[in-house]
Amino acid sequence: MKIQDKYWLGILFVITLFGLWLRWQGIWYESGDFVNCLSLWMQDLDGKNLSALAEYNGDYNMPYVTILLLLTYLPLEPIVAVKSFSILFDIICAVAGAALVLEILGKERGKKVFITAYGLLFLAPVAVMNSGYWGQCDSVYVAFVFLACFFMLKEKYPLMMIFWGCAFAFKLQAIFAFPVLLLYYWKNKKFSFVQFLLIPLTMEVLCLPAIIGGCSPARTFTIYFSQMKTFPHMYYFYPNLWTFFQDTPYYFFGLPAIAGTFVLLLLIAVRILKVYDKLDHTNFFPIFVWVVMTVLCFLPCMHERYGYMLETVAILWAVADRRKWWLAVVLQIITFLMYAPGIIVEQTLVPTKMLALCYLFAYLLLTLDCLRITSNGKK
Amino acid sequence: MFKWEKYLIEKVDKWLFYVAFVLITIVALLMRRQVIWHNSFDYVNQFYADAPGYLHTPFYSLFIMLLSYVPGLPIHTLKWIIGIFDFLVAILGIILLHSQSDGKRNRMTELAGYALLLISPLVLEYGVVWIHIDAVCFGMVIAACLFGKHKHYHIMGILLGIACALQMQYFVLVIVLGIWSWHKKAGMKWIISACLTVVLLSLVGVFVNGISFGEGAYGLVNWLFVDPSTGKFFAGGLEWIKMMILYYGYLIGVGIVGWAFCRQKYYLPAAVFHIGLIIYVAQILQYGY
Repeated sequence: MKIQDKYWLGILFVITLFGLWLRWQGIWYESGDFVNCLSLWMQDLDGKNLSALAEYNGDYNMPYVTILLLLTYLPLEPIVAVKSFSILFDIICAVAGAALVLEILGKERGKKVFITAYGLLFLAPVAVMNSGYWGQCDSVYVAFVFLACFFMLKEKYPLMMIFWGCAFAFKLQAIFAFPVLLLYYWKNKKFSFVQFLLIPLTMEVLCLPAIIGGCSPARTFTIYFSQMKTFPHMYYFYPNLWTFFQDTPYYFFGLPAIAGTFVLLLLIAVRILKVYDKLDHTNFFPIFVWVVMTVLCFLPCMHERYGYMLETVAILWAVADRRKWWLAVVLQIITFLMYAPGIIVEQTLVPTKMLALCYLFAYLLLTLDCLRITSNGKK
Repeated sequence: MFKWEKYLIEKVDKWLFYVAFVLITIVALLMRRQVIWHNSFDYVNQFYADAPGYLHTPFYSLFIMLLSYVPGLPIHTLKWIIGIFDFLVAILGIILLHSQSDGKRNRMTELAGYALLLISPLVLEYGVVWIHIDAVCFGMVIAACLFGKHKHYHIMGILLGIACALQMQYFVLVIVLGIWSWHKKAGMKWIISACLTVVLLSLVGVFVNGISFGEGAYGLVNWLFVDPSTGKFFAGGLEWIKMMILYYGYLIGVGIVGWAFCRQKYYLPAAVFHIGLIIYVAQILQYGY
């Protein structure tokens, strides 16, 4: 091994250690999600066999519950076990994200870019707080989405679909980035729609332990329909447009809000399809960020955690194109201020409506930027 | 990818703007249908023909009365009329936008303008949610501008007159267009047509509703100084400003979108204004005046 390689490996090691130390500071913190859901599920599953999965009545999909069952066999406190799994995926997510940036920028800028992306992603406040403090597992599905995108750009489509399936098997939020895949399919015409079937197939395969345990094979999909009805509010703590519509009845306005988001995505799709000859490395990040932020900005009932994919991919875009640092910074600050109450401080630091105004302004700037970028694409 | 799959995608690509147009239209219709049963404060408390004179103009009171003769629930009839005018505003807006673009057609801009004018929460808030008839008035104004562009000045005047007879706030546009016409040395006949239409329609309203001339005249101008929630003079300047923003919110919000699509360097200020108005109106819809 060359001295220079050892130097980079050393930096990687130090970053990882520092990130782990940051997470360790919050390892004993019991979030509402842990107290009210995760710990109870762990108690129900503790030491049982696969049949326990059939009795599970929470709203997470079976692959994650299977992991929880496996974690109960470890000689660890439940809170440490749950958070360790999420932290492990923080590392995988950071590696996958860094690999994605490297794929986009080209290998010649190699190690420096990889370590910058890895470091920024692993040490990002949103990543540290999500897993280390909250005990949430958003890094799992985001890692799979990054891997799926990585293989999409490498044109390895079966692998791409398998990773999309993994992402969907863990969290429905992967759907926020799904329009990117549809655009790629439509514009590049490189693979058949038949390959999309690998997504539900992968989801079923990951649910096999639960199916063996007595769960219905349909549960993989039906669980998401029940999830969609769980929180019927226009606003659910994510600082998007609907922050200003907190007392608006969801049963009247929920569907129009979803329909409006669909129309905006359609407009973005038409613009992209008409401007670009093909979708590739050069236009991946603007399209991905624009699509995901549009979804998050205008869909109702968004939880503050749902922005995890956007907040992490904005960091990757900033690494790939330094002029986009502002979006990554703004999103990290907003998320930090949303996460902090209850974890770090008692009270809300900044009124949510103020954060929502900043968020909307950032979205407008991003949209103008993307309109400009797509105009350049036309030339 | 299969050959037929590729062929299908290429076909849709060729007709992409039309496919998108149809999809947007269907979605916009569904959005309006979803809120058809929603009762706003204004519908519950102010939507009846013999409401106090400080609430409606005589012609608008007549319009409300006539709605009761249409089969079906008045709330549905009114919401679908407003909904149809939402579409009319979007389509006429695009035609006006096209006429401003010196023949250089940009179908993407037209599609985006059409979509945003239909799905904007501001348009939905004012129209099918709140049942304010700004879309009807604004539709008349855009149609009037198009007729004026083709030198049909009498029709232009009549359409502007109908808009003003329904909501007198729109008379400010007659003044603005009048100044513009005078400056450009264009025809001024339409102003007479507009004023005559306002007087005529208001008189019909007065006679049919059986109210006095004084009350009818008061119904045309009271919005300038009477708070509609109390029926008394505005308590202060701030209350007056807040109400004027509400009266002109739709006009400014929709107008500014059209303006931005004509002059693209104003996208950001237009979007900021538009979203600001959405938020302002949302607060009033949720928490009252």
